[in-house]
Amino acid sequence: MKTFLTSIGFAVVLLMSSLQNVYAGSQQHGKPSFTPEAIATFSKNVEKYAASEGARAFIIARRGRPIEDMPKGIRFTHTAIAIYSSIQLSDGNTAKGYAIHNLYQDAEEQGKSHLITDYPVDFFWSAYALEAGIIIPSVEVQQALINLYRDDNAKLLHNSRYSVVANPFNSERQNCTEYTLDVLNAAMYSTTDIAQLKVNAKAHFTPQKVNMSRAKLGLASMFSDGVTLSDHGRKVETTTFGSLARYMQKYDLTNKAVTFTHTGQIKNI
Amino acid sequence: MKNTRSTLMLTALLSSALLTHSALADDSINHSGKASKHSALAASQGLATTASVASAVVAVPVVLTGSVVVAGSAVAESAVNESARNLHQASHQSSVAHNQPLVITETIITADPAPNQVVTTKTKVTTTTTNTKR
Repeated sequence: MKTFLTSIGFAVVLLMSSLQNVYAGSQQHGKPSFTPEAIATFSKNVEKYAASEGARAFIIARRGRPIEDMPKGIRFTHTAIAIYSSIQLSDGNTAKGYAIHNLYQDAEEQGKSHLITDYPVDFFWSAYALEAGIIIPSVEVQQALINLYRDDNAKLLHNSRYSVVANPFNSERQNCTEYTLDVLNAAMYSTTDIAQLKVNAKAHFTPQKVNMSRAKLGLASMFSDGVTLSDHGRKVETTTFGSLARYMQKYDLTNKAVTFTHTGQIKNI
Repeated sequence: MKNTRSTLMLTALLSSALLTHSALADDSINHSGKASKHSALAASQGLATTASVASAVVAVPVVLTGSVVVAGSAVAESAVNESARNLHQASHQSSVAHNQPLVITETIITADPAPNQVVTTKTKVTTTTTNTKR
């Protein structure tokens, strides 16, 4: 009995220790893995690549952790939309560059999210790898996305209830990539009617299956408000950068879909 | 023996759950609110001499209209502040040809830290100053 209790105590200590590491990891995301100049140079190169392709709106993704730590089939951990913009600077000057429109998970309340505009160097500041996922839509889709942001309608698609494995076919939860899908579809279908967008997604979009057992996912949900299966049925599927790329390629909505590395290597997706 | 086996199973289960959560933990957390970022970039010696660092006040999409692009107006109007409207007006005077490579500034632009962080930083500076006077 004594051995059993000791072992349980040991397990709890391990658990608490691991939990602290997990949460500390989320809270310390601001710590960069690379030097500021490496991040700044890479970010600027991503911008210049997109600009050289004439992209006025594109989908951008980053990798926040090692591939081997992620479920099979998932490469990028955060996705957003970059819009070529006139940017008013605090020194009074105006500059041309990309503003990135994100849905970010709340660092404190992990079941909540916010819409935040930032810039490439902010976006890649604490990336695990200096690698970007880039989808440059067709000119028509770019135009539709720009119009949506010009009219300030993208915010109408935000659902602040966050889950990292949100089901893209209902409005119960939303993650960054589902928000990107909703924005993309809203732009293309010229509607912000969420119910209609979900019906359209169900009809045409194929999500990424989350390759983890339901038991494991259920256990994970016990430790974080940012993970829930309450919006899923039997299968657990979610929106990812890869599934977005496949969706856009399937319906010929893409000019280019690539990964871009710090060495300047460009690979088609 | 049975208890030890149960404990090992429990430990494995809990570890598995934690690893799962760790793997799933989205890194969709905002990094722009780090007050130290701007100064870290500004202090970087490795950046090109032409590169400068600046904070953004507001960004307005550049909208394609026919064969040229101009800055959009609706976002500027909803951005609440006057600077956006000024930017909108100024941007009407510039244009970029359709489908051509776009101009990108060499300036490294960052988002400003969240208001609560700015207030905290200012408070700390004030406190330090006060202590120094003493």
